[in-house]
Amino acid sequence: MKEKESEHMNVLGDQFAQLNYAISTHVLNGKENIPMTTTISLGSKEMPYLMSVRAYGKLSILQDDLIISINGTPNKNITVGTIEYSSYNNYFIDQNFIFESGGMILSQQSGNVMKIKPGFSALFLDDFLIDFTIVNISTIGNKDRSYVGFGPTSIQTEYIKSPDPSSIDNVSYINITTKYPYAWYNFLNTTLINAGFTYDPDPADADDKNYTIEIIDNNVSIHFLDFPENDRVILHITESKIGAQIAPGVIEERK
Amino acid sequence: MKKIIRTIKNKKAVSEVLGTIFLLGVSVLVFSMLYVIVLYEPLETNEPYPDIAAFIEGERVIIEHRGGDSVDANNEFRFNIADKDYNIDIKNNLTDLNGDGKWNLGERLTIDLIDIHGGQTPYSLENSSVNITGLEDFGDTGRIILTGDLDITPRCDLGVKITVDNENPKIGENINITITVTNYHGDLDATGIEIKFKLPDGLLYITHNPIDYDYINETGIWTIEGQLGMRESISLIITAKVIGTQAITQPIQLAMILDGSGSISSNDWNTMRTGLANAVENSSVFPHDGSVELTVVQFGGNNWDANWEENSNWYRTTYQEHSGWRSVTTNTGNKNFICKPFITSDASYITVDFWYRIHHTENDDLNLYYFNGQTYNLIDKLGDGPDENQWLHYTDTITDPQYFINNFKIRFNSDLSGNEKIYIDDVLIKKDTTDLLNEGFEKTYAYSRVEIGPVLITDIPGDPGNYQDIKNNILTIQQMQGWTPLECGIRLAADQLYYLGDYEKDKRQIVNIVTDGVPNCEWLFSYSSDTVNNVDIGKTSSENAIEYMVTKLDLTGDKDEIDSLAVGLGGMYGGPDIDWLQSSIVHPQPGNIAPPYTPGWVKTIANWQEFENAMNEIFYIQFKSIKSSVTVLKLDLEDPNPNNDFNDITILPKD
Repeated sequence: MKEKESEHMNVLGDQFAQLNYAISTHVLNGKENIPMTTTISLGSKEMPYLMSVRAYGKLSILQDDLIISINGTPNKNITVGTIEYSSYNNYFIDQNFIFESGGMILSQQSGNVMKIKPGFSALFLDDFLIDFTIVNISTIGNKDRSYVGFGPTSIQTEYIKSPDPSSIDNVSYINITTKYPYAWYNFLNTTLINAGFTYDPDPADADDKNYTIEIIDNNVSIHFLDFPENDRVILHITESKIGAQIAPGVIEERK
Repeated sequence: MKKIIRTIKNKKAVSEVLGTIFLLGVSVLVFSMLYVIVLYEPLETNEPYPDIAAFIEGERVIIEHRGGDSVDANNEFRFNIADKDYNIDIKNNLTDLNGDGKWNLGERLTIDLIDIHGGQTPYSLENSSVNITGLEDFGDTGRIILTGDLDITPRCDLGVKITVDNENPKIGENINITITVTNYHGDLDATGIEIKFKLPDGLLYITHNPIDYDYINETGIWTIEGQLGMRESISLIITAKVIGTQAITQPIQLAMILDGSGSISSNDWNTMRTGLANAVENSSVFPHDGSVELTVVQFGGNNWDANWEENSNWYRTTYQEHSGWRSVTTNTGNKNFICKPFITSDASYITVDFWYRIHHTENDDLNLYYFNGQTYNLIDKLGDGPDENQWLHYTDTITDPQYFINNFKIRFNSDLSGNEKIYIDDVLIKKDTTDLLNEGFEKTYAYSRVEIGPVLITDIPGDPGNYQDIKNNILTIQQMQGWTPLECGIRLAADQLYYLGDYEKDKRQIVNIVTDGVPNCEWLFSYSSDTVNNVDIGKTSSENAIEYMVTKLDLTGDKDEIDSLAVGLGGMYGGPDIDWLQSSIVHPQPGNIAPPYTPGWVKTIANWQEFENAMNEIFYIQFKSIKSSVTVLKLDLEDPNPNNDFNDITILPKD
C-alpha cells in the first residue's frame, strides 16, 4: 500500500511536469486565447483486499503566494500566484508539488527541493547579467481550488497579456519570500556559482566575493557586493501572466 | 436389524466423504476467488527508491535528495576520479538542515573534489568525468541509490573585445586598435589561445604593441603564449594607417522602402525625394562604380484600381454584379484594362478565373490577352457569346512556360459601340495555390509599387553612367498618399531583390525603411492591403512581412541588415513607433538606436528637413565605413558561452 501511494506520487510528479510544460509553452508563445488543459490525479485507488484506504489530494491556486523584491534602478516588487497540490497519504510520506514562478518544487515535511528549474539564468560578461522570467498565476472566475478527492481533476491554463520586459540596473539585492526557501536557496546559489559569480557562505568573510546568500525565515536574500572594476549587476526581467482555473466546467472571460 | 445398521453406517461413511469433498471444493473456490481478486491489482514488490540527483557546482559535487523516504546518514558514496577510488560517508558531508541525523528531501551532500583528489583540481584536459555510486544498507544486501558519470570536461568562458582610439580618422592618419581578451570564468586557466584579427582593406599595418607578442599581420593570427588566469585580461594594440575607405568587393543590393502615405505633406515629400536624390548623386557617400544595386519602393495609396496597371476609362458600377454589389464596366471605344505585373517565374501553373457578362456584343468586342514578357497574346474572344445578359464563368489553367516570367499580366480589351455593354467581376489570378490577385471590385486598396530599379548605379569612365538619370527619376516619384501598408513595401522589396535584382545569397543585402508613422493595413495578396485602419493588425502584418523577407533573402546577421529611419516625433497622425521598429522590424535583432550604426538600427530625426543629412550619414556608413572584426580562433578548453567570442568595430574615415 505504501508502494501504491509512492507510485501515485510518481505519477503526480509526471502530471505536474506536464502542467509545467503547458505553462512554459504559453510563456514561449506569448499568445492569448490558446487554452491548454492538464489532468491531475488527486488520489490513488484503494487496494481491493484487506482494509486498505484511499489516498486523497487537493489542487489549489494560491494568489499572492510568492513575493519577489529587487533593489536596483528602479526598485521592483512582484507578487506572484502559484499552483499547489497537497497529498493526504495514509502510508507513504505526504508530498506537495508546487508550481512557483516557472519552477516545480517538491516539498515534504522534511524539506523542499526544486525539481524543475524556473527561468533564472546568469551570465558574466563585462557586467553581470541575469535573466529572470517570472511566471505569475492568477485565477479565472474564482475557480481556484479543487475538491479534496481521489479522482482526476483538470486545470486549464492560458496566456494573459503581460507587461513588456524591463531591465533593472545596479541591482544590489534580490529577495524572494516563499514557503520553500531551501529549494530557492539551493537553486539560486548553484546557478550563480556556475555562471562565474563567487560567493562565501559566511557573509562576514565575503570581502572579495560577488555576493552573499542567506535564508531568514521565509526569505531567501541575495546581496550583491561591490564588484571590482565597477562591474554592475543588470537584471532583465520578464513577467508572464498565466490565467488558470480548476474544478468542473470552464469560465470564459470576456475579451 | 444388522442389515439396517450396516446400511446406516454405510450412509454415514458416504456423507463424510461427500462432506470432505464439498469442503475442499468450497476452500478451493474461496481461495481461487481471493487469488483472482488479489491478482486483479498487480502487487509491487519494490520498495520506493529515494530520488537522488548529482551535479557539479564549481569544483564541488553536489548530491541532492529530491524525493521519497529519508536515507540513513550512515551510508556512503563511492567516487572514481582518474582511475582512483574514494569512499565518502554521507554523515560527514551532509548539510543536515533539521539536525535529525538523516538525509532528507532538499538536503545536500557537498563533496569538494579538490579535497578528495589529493588537493588537486579534478579538472584537466585528460579527465572528462567522475564516476559516482551511492550505496544504501537495505535488507541483507543493500542497494544502489545512484550511479553514473558526471561530466567534468574543463570549460572556460573566453571573450574578446575590440576598440579604436579614433573612430573618425582622416585618411593618412594612424589609429590604434586595441584587442582585449578576457577569461571571464571557468574551471582552469585558459591555454592554447589564438585570436584572429585581420586588418581590412583601407587600413595598413604599421606595428603592434607589446612588440614581443606573437601577432602575424599577414595571417592576422595572435597566439597568446602561456595561460590566462580566471578574471584576467590581456591586450594587444595594433597601430594602422588609414589609407582609404571601405572597398566593396561584391555588389550590394540596397532597397529603399519609402512611406508615401497621406500623413506626409507634399512639401515634406518633395524634401524627402530631393534629399534622397542628392544623396544618391553624391559620390562621396554613395558609390557610383556599379557596386550598389538600388531599388526604391513606395507604399501608401487608397485606390480601387490599385491592382490594375492600365485602366483606360474602365470604372466600377453597381448596376450589375456577380457577387458583392459591384463589377467593372466601360464605355464605347477601344479600352484596355491591364492588371499590374506579377512574378510567376517560379510557378508550376497559373490559374486565371473570372466572371463576365455581355449585352449585344459581337466577336471582337471583348478580348482576353496574356502577356509573355514581350507581347500580348490573344487567348480568347468573349464578345460573341450566345448567352447574353447572364454571368458567364471563364477559367483557364496556364502551363505554357512562356508565361512563367517576372511580369505576367492579363489584358481585357473592349471595343464597344451603341448600346453594347460588358461587365467583369471576381477576377482571380493564382500562382500555383497562391493568390496573386483576388479582385471583386468592392474595396479600395493600399499597396506598394516599384519606383526605381533594381538598377546598378554607375559613373564608370568610358561608360555613360546612369546616376544622374536615377537622380532625376527619384525627383519625379509621385507620392501615393492614402494609408500606411508597410508590409506591402517590405514584401515587394523582398521580391524585387530576389527575382529581379542580381540576387545571390552570399551578397550583402541592405534594406532601409523610411517612415513617419505606424502601419495600419492588413496584407491581402501580392502587394495589396485591406484598409482596416488598425495599428495592431498593421504591425502584425508588417512583422510577418519581415519574416518573409528574412527567409526569402536568407538574410544573415553578419552581413545583411534591415534598418529604419524614423521621421518625426508625433503629430496629427502620431509619430513612428520607435520601440516597435527597434524590437520587431529591424534585423538582426536585438535592434539598437543609432548611432552607433550597428546593423539592425533605428535612426530618429525630428523632421523631414533633417532627411538629406541623415541619408548622407547613413549611406556613408553603409558604403564607406571600414568594419573590422576579431574572433577567438582556438582554445584548449570548451567555451560554454560563444556569444562573446566575436566583436567588431566600425571606422568612418574622413576625406
